[in-house]
Amino acid sequence: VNTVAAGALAALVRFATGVVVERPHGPVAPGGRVYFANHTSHLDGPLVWATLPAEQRLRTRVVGARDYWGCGWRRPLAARLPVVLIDRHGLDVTGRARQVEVLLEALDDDGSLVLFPEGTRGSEELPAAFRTGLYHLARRRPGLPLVPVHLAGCHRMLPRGAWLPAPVVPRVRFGRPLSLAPDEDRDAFLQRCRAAVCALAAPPPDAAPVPAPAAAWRRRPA
Amino acid sequence: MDAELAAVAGAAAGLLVVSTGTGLVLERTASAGPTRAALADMNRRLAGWWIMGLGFLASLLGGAWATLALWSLVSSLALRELLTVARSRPADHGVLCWSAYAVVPVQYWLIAGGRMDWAQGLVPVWAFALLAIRGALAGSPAGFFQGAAELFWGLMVCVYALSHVPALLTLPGRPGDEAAGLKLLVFLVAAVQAGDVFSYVWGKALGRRALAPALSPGKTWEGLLGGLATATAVGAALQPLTSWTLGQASVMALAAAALGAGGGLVMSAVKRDRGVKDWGALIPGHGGMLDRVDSLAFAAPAFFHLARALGA
Repeated sequence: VNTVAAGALAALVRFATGVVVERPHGPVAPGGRVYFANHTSHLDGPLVWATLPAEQRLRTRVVGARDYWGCGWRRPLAARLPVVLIDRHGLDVTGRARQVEVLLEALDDDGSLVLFPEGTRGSEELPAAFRTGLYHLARRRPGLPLVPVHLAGCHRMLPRGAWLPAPVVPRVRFGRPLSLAPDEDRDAFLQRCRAAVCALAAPPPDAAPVPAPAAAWRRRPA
Repeated sequence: MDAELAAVAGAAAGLLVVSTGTGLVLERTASAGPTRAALADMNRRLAGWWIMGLGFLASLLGGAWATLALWSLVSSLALRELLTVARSRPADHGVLCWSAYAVVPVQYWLIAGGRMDWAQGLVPVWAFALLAIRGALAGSPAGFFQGAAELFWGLMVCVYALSHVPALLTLPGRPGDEAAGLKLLVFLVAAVQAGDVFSYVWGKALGRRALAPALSPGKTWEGLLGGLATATAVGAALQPLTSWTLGQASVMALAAAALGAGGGLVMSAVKRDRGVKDWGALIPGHGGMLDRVDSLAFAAPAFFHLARALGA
């Protein structure tokens, strides 16, 4: 995908959806990383990709399932978009290892990935249990920053099976990067990653300061 | 452009140039601290006014079609912001799409054709009934009443009410005056926004008694009264735009500004109830589209009715 087309596509996605982007932990540092998010809608991948800083976006690809995006009318579409397709069904041990290699290759040269570790679209505000791919990536690239992302409103806007986006503004909230601790086991790590996404679903403490109606009105000083 | 409209546009542009210049100079010279932060906030708001002012001016220059296009866009953006905050069931996806892709275009198409009796019935008669029936037939009833009620509220505010602004173009107006409708539109927007802006200004300068601390901590009685007085004066000054007497024009501006303040308060109550501070982040310094046009929620339809009764 060339630079101008990518920029125009990202601007179109942002403008058409009116997406609200929140980075409570400041701007994104340069370098490769894995963004992982809850997954409820086809809009999720485009929204995370379109809200990244431009130079980051050009090196970022969204991970999709080959059995879905590599078939039928979706296949030519996916071929033109910044997407990495992996197999998710009917794999033996070597087959699964090969999928990890595909993703590691995409992370070379400061590349970044957008990954939905649930492996499919859900319908709840909080993600289902994570599958293990994120752990394997973290184990093979120990220093790699993993950025939790929470997407809100995408499911109301374009749920599974819908083809028209409803008039709702989605929100993308980027969290603080984390990485695999040296002695952390797989399940603990995956639970920590999922908890990081869930924590972003709650509004930050300063989001809606509801004023205490203590002083109904101030009297004029005597 | 009509000479009277050009004079009003020139006055508004002059006001904007002077306040922008003053704001920038004051911010440069102010020492760091709360005063400077308040000035920076004011300058952000002024930047938003430039964007809105130029958009509004472009629509006036473009005439009836550009005005309808602008307000249908305003309606769509406001509706999207409101429905983001409103609750809905998963099964309401179709109903939400119908309101955005059918109700909004049909409403503006009816107004463009001058069919005001149909335009005034579309939301309260047809959308009210048909969307409720469509919603009741879909999904589980849990949450149906809440979803249907909040959707209807959104349609009333963002489609019914806001479309009454360009609907002023359908009023017959002074015989022989081609731009009579546009002038009424400018009169309404100027009165409501003057009330809004000057209640902020008077509130900053003199505000002591909080008006509704649980809704809007910044709003004060002094600000409200100052804003209404300023809006009345603006209405009197804009009397040449209308076919009304000086007294009628002043009372119309006062009514519009008072309902404007009421609309702002009610929409603040909705935001507080749903735990959001702003409707969005579309306009720099102002929040979302709905943060700027919330004062038209009650003022626009009421102004239209009163203007029609007065024989505008």
